[in-house]
Amino acid sequence: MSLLKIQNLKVNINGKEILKGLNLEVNPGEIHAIMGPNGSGKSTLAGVLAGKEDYEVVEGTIEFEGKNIFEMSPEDRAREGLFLAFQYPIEIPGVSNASFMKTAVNEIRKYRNLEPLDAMDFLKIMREKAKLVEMDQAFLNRSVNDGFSGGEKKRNEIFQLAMLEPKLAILDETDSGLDIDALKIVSYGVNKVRNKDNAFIVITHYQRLLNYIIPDFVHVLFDGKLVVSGGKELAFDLEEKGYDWIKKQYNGVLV
Amino acid sequence: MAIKEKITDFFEKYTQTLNGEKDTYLFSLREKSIKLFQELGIPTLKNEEWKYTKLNFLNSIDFELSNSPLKTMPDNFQISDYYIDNFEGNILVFINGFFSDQFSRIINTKDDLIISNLNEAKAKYPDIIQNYLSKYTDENNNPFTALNTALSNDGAVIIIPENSVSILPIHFLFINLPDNKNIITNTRNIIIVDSNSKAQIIETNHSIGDYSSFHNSVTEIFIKQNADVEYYKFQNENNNAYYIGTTQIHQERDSKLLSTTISLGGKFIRNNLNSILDGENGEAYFNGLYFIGNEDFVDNHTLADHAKPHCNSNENYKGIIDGKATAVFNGKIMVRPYAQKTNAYQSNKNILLSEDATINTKPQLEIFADDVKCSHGATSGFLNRDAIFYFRARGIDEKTAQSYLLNSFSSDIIETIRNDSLRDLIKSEVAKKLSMNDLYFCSILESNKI
Repeated sequence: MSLLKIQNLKVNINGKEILKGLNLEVNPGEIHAIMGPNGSGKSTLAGVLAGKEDYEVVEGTIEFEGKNIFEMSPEDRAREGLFLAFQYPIEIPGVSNASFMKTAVNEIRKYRNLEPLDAMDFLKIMREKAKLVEMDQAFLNRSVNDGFSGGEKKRNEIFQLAMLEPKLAILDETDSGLDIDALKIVSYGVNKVRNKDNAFIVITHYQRLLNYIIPDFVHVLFDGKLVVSGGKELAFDLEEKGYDWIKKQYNGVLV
Repeated sequence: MAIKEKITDFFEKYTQTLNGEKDTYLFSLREKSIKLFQELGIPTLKNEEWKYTKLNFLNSIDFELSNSPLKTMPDNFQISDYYIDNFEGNILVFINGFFSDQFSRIINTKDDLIISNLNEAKAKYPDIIQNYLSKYTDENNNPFTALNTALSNDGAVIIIPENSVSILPIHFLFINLPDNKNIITNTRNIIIVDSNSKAQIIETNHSIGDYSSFHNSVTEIFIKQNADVEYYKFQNENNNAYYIGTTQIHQERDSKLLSTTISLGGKFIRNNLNSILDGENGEAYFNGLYFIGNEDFVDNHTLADHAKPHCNSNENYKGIIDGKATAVFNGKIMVRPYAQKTNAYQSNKNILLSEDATINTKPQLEIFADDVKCSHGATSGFLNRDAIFYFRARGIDEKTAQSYLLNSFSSDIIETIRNDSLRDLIKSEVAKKLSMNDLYFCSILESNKI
């Protein structure tokens, strides 16, 4: 059974069609990159998977390990093992990273009928995972994303990913706004977390990130559908030629 | 009988018990005040100061004056239930408005330090009563202050001599325990903190039982030159509790006031907090948190009265309003003509948790000097949906997410409290309201120095 199966997904926002029949299948151990020009529906796909409000699913199905995710609340999707690294992580003044993650980890453990981690075990794991993304200890006591630089926010997303150990992680433009050093740190974290049992969907505008997180499949999302799929070489083609040839081929429009 | 006539009746009966005092200054003040009360009457919604504050409980509930100490305490009464855990300091307990020697705990004793009660002080220190009582209070336009002056028979009297910086905190504990009727209590507190001294005062109110009680309180605080006063009020009462309290503060030069008022429950609460910055370089911090639900009502009226130049006032009130509760915030900043170089700041932020919750917030700036910095801001709204989604996307349900956000919203106000035992108590009461049990995790982290 595949980990994620999206069939003929059609989604509207405020009555406007954004996704127009999208199909995608992801198996454990795979990394899928989804690329595409601005406005093609990349972030909508990420939001629909995570269960964000404001989307109207018009048609199609999404199954996560064979279960219909539309019947699950956002928190249950997370507890089942789905993780979204936000393009724009939210600042939560007054709630420390440590306390936020402890609650998240224990909520997920409770859902899976596991005992909660005690404070000391939790601290140990947290210190370990923070090292993966080169976050110092003080960061754990800071409020979630509050006053963080763009790079720190993205590193925090990967730290959370490492803490929660999801089966499927969706990275929504995690590379946007990152300098090359931060990009390397983020990628290092992802590569450390990846294994044969989990999978990633890497949504990105640029090929750059894919030098560090090597995808098994590259898909181009255009006008609400995945129009081209290939191996990692496809990303190099896109980097070289841009998206214009895709626009021409699938839109019939001269650019 | 309407409340106004009833109070006249109370006054006549009460003064008959004061036979030996008829020639005193206090007695003449009482007679003057009852007249003021009769002239002013009970405010209606047409009175700008009481525009959102319905006082109909005064007539709809049949109140009697609490005119004698309670003879026997109920069997299940334990005073320790009302002490603050781990509190180190002096405790003055008042039951139904009367000082209770039995339950109070006075530790600090020093020749020139006075920790007393009004009933004792009026005989023992008549000069102090004459020089300080009602010196800056608002009897002329607040009928409840006038009522208090006319009828108050007890309350705390604290006089801290100059250069005293190590007086232990003082807790005023007011318990209303009506046993067979609805009662009105009028307590009057006087706190004088002399030059270069420090004081930390905590006031808590508790109503017990099925009868209603109306506590009408006035506290006068005199902060002399370069003195520093912390004044904390914690209100977490049942739905038979009605409270109107005025705190009138007078600040001399270089003095500092830190006031934090926390209201977590009560059927009706009106807090008036007025400070006159009457000497250069004075500082006043007004902080408040109201977190209410059901059909509770909490009204905070504050006045930062800048009478002299170069003073700072900084006000930060926050509210969380649930159910069918209503809150009122009215923050007045007065800058008198001579008070140049005033800095006055005010903020009032509110979160509404239900469609039926109400907030009436109003800044009121009256500025008569031309070289001043004053700013104010008020907001009200619902919780941030994006923030809640962020929690949910990490496996945390909506209710818990909401608790975290409300806890963080209120924490900066709670953190202004510098008495550890009171702050811990308030944190745990807020955590109870939020059904959170993991709030202390952060402090574990800090103590582990990770």
